[in-house]
Amino acid sequence: MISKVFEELVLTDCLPSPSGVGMQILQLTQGDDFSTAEIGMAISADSALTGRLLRLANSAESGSVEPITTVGEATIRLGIRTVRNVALGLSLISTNRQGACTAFDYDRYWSLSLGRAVAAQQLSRHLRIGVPAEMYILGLLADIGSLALASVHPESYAELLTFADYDGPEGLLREEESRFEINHIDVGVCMLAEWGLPPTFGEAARRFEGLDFAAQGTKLSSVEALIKAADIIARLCLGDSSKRTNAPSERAARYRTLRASCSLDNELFDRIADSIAKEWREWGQLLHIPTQAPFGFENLANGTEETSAEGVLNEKQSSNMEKAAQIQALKPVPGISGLHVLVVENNPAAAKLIEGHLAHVGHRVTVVTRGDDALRVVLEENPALVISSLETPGLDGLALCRAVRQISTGRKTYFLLLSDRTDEAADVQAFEAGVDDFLVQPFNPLVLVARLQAAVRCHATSVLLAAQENKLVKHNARLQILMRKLRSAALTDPLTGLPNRRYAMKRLGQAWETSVRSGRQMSVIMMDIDFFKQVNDRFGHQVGDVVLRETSIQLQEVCREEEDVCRMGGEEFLVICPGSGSEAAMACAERIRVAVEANVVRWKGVECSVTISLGVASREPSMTQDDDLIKAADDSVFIAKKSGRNKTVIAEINSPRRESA
Amino acid sequence: MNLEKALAGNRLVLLDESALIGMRLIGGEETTGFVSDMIDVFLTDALVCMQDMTCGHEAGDLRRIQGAANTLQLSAAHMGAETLAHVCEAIEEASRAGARGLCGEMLEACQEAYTRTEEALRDWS
Repeated sequence: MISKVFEELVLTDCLPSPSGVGMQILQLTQGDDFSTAEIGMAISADSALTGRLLRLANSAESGSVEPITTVGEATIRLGIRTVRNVALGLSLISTNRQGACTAFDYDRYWSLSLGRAVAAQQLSRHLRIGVPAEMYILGLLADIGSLALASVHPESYAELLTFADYDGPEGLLREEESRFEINHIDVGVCMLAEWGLPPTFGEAARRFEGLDFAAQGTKLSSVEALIKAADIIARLCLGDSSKRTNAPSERAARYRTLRASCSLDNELFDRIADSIAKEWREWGQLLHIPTQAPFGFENLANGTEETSAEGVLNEKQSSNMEKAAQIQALKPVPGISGLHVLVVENNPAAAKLIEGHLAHVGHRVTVVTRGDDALRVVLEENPALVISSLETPGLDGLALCRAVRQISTGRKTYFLLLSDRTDEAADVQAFEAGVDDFLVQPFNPLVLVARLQAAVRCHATSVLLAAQENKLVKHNARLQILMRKLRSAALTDPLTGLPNRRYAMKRLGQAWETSVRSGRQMSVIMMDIDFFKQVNDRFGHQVGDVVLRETSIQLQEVCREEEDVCRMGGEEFLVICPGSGSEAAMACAERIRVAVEANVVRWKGVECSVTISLGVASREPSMTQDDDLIKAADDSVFIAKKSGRNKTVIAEINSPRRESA
Repeated sequence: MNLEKALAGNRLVLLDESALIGMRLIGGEETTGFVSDMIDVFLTDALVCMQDMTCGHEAGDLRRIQGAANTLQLSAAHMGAETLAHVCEAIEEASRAGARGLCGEMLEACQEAYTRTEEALRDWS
């Protein structure tokens, strides 16, 4: 039911999704045949993402002597899967910072997620739980389901958040289920799985809000505890101790309880918490996410905290809203404003003139006087439009334009060059360097504004094209995911989750070819549950299904990683053992037989146990194809059944047959 | 060299007010403060440029004179200060041609043009 509702959410095309580069990475990593170089190239195409990734890699790897300076190094130190997850998570922020749900506080959502991410990373390093960079992404995305519901149902979700009378987190979940047939936790878990993140992520995300608990002492319970602790610290950083109250005494008590529950010295824990708050602010500046003024966690614990950080955020948000309202009121040219424009001009009067006109029509203007500074701004902030004077120190206008065109995002930047040269050669030089337009100084301000309208039209077209391209990439990625699922479904037995007969025969053929080519041994173990029909007849098919599932679990636990366990159909299983001779395969078969016999199946008051009969066959020179191997194993199972069941029989082509048990 | 000689018979206005009005027209009434700010920025920067030209002349650094004259010429043109822009253009050309003596003579005219422009701009704002 949940997966069906989630599929419907996917079809709306409104779920939060990563940027174009993020989707590309997602696509690349759908299969197993991607390379480090491919991932590196995809990430490097987005300079802002690269910078953030390297920052995280360096902060996560603080024990290293040499800083990580390239995506390639990050991949080697952190591992390709981690880098892929980090790139995916960070690219999500850039594309989903704001949204249409009016009652959903996007600033607060990302601020809290960022705090959780930083806290999870630092706690991971100190408590040695999980991989710090992976924990960062888990912290960042643990509550992604809330953002998803706000994105897919902006109006209904706003109404729910504003008017619904629900009681606490559990009430919110119930309210969500009654309105959307799915709650934000389930949406989040499905999304993390859809993006191919490790299953631990989904499980920890399901439990971090405290509604479900993993068994103590497991890896999952450690990760779950880590994310819960990270969430508490993030909320304290943000200024609240729970979702309902902000009393300083409760904040202090909550922090002291958390501190006492960790196996760290109080002073050290205070230092870690302060360091988390500091890094949270730094990340906030980098990602343009609002954060709070720092406060000492030691003071918080002692009850001597000076200011309520929550107040600071509210004040800041309210000031931003006022500013936004003022800007809105001043916009005289609706529809063509709001771009980020970089002005590169070392003549103060000209710079002031351009800045004044642009700011007045609602554009966000950054003014720099040097060309090299301008290039840095382009790399970090990716402005929509660059207006540059020809003669600027550091890097002149033409060199700057050439450099901008070398950056993948810079190819779409509209570049307007200002020059006092009026000769045709200057025009040719400028357009050869890649400028989009050319304006002779001193310019008439009215002409500048008119030219800007052309730039805005070009930018709008470019944004539209990019959105369409992004949509295509998303569709493509979704198709890839669907195809992977279909491929997987076609080769998987739905009841046990084991590879099915189709997969078994394909894998057997490959193993046979390798064995023949390399001259290495190989064996197969065919097995059949004894008296399975009687189990079905006596306890019903549901118990029969549980027996099949439990038997498959026993098989997977006993077999080695390189051995393939498959369900051939009915109560029949096959294990392919590449590299194993008859002795090793026989030993494996015996381990399986003993494990299955010892296992007691319990289901709704029913208790039963089953045995299995196994046939082992190894490749012999007289065999010409893989079917011979299967036939020999099948014959051995038949003999095992005939001779009393619950035993292993090995097919001996050139020597007397051996039996066990 | 006095200003009249430097202008060499060119009939230029000291201040083309249409440039300043244009600034106001684009922004509307609320940009009055903006135009005043523009004038302040221009006058401050113009002093820096003139200082630069004088130092360049004293040091015999023609490239420095040329750069400062070019900057001031563009700023002046933006502000509608036609006379000052014309004199600066002439200084730029003289410095490019290596005529150090002529540059020095025209700096006096430039100073005069600046003083008159400043008065006109202060009156206008």
